[in-house]
Amino acid sequence: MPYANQPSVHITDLTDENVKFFIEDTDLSVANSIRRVLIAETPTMAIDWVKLDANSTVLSDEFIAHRVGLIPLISDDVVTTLQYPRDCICSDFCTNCSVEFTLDVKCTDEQTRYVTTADLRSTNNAVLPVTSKHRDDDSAEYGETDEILIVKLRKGQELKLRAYAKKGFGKEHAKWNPTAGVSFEYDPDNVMRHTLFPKPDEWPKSEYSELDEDQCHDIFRRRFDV
Amino acid sequence: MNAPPTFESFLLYDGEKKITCEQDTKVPNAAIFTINKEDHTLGNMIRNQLLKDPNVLFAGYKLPHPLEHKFVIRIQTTSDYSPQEALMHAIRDLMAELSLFQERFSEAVKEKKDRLD
Repeated sequence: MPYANQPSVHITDLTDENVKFFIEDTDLSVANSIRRVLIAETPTMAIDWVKLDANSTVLSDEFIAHRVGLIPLISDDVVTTLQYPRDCICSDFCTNCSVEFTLDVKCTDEQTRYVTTADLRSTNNAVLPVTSKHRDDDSAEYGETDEILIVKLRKGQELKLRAYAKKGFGKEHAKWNPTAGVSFEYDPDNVMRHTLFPKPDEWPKSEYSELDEDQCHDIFRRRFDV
Repeated sequence: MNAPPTFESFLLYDGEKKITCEQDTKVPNAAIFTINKEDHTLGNMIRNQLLKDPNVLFAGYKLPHPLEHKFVIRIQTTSDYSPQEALMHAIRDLMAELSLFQERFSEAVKEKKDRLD
């Protein structure tokens, strides 16, 4: 391997929702490509086909279909075994390429009925709306769930739909984007002069900066300032 | 109304090849590769890896038009080396680097998880 890099990785933070890590001995372009791939090319599951059987809500069919598509689904293990629908040999949908969801809510009492992700039923227990992960743990927080609201119903209004969730990635539609935010930082003290600070003292110092408390960014600029 | 289908950015048409090569006649040992249905994610990485090779005299890529999903990469090498060979080495090096990164990352994750528990 003539000119390959040998990157080394150190993880600083690791939670269910956040990973922070250092990567050394690699190119900037590789780090950027990893960032781009995390955003746009990691496959996830999201609802992609909706059939509405009954909709007497205040929102139109396509509005509700759009909202349902944007609901994030837990796709951890299923996504690697599932096939892309266009590659699957079946004609419409099957268990090898999709997961079926149903929603059936009718408001019968005087109070406003909130249709949330809790009402969305999945046929595969591994693929559920993300909010259902926390429902069983924090049953103490009764009034405060983080269920995603789809639509509000008045007495007599009904919403009944069937949907299929498919595998896809961010390039095709943002609903398949698994990340909330990806960022990377390099050269915290601007040693390489990739950027120019018009007013260096306005810019907060990075937590990885190697400068002292009172030194500000233009410590390097002063030497070359004309 | 005129929006192209979103899957066009990564699915090849019927008969479209992923990569095509054209010899550049203006200078010796130069070739222009057109890679379809790819963007900066791949182009920037390959271009940077090619520039690390001392036998590569010129390496540059561009996306001819943002609405057409392809990029063009021009490689010029020294006389004992062909651009095709340079590209193959660059790709092979990148694959090695990324698989090493994957290995080290999964190790680091496992270690961190074990330490957290």
